Amino acid sequence: MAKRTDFERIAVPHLDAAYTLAVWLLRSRADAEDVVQEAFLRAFRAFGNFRGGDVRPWLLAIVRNAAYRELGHRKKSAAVVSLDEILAQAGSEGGRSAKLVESLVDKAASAEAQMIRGVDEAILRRALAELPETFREVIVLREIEELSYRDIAQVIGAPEGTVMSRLSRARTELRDIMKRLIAKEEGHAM
Amino acid sequence: MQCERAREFVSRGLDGELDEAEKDALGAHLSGCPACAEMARDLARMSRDVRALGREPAPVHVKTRLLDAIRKADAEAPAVAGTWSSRQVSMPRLAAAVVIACLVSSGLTLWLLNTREAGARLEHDIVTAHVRSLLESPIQVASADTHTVKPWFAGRVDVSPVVKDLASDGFALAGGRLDYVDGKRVAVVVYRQRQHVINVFTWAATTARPPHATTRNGYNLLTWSANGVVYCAISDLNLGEMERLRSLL
Repeated sequence: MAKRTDFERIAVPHLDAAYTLAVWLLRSRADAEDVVQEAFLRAFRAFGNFRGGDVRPWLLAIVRNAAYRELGHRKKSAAVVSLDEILAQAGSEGGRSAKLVESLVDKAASAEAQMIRGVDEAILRRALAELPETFREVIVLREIEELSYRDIAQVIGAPEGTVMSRLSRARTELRDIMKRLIAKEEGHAM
Repeated sequence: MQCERAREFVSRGLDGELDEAEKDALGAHLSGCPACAEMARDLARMSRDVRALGREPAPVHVKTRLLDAIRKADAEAPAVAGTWSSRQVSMPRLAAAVVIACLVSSGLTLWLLNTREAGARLEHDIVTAHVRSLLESPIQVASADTHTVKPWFAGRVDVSPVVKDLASDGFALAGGRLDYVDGKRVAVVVYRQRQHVINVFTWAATTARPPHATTRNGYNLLTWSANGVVYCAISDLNLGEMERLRSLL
């Protein structure tokens, strides 16, 4: 009994954090809802193994595992059309990446900053969704959850050195995707 | 410094993971390499923008459904006596349960002969009375109407307990009865949640007492006092649900 009230007090407040990671990994809110539910029930049953400290990395590791299981099922049952593929096709059809605009920084400073800011969020979400999962998750854990390298290492089950180099590559890759998407946007606008 | 290395340094810098010497080395490279300087500005802005996206708030129904599921998983946890009142009860199971309840009750009595603690005896009385009520269901005034149950106690006991029909909150008023606990006559208000029976024993309080929860023999007991009346709720329901009942009364 005490176990359940403890769990409700300690773990359940991290529901938004768990849901956020699941949404970004699965890119589907409906699937994220199911995965989060499943993960929290697992966490509840395993709560006896939690040895104090920050519950978030422990919990997010369970959420991540559940999300990857779901991704695995999707790959097996080809029935689900992966957004991955849709985005990849949409991205490759343009091939206008040579027509690069000025840096993102300069764009923000332009007169239409307000408008571009709005476009940017949509582009940013899209770019993040296009990143491979292993890159996407470290970005979400670092930037949105603000976890330390050590905590991220615990969540993804990899050494801290890997976290560091993966974050670096993820950021570079995200920038490349954003440049490509912005270039495409410009192309359509003209 | 190689541009490749600079990328990694910029990333670590954004995470506050560079020492002074590394910062200097990166600064020196960036001032001489416009491409990397631009990359550094882009990554810094991107990092801010991703942060600004913030979390995706989980819809309310996700939390509700989750809490429900956890409570259910908790209730299904093994080794809680009293689950005999769940859904379909076959006669052999009922008979077995009655036997177990009797054994448990007499076992508890024997155990209690060896203890002198008044609180323990009180709890024992309540568990015994609760188990007995489950076997005999002796509701003396069976009504879901507060205005029938509450006046019935008047003149029979020296307290006027809170009686509410909480059917819309999942606790249906089943009625009331008198019982004999710790050497005195007490008023018992009976609620039902699905097949679970909750007996709320009430008597005059001598001192105010803060809410206190114990588990005896698989039954949860929750005791509190309000307005000079002690309430002791007992049931095989989980404590969370009993806390909820308390907050509603």
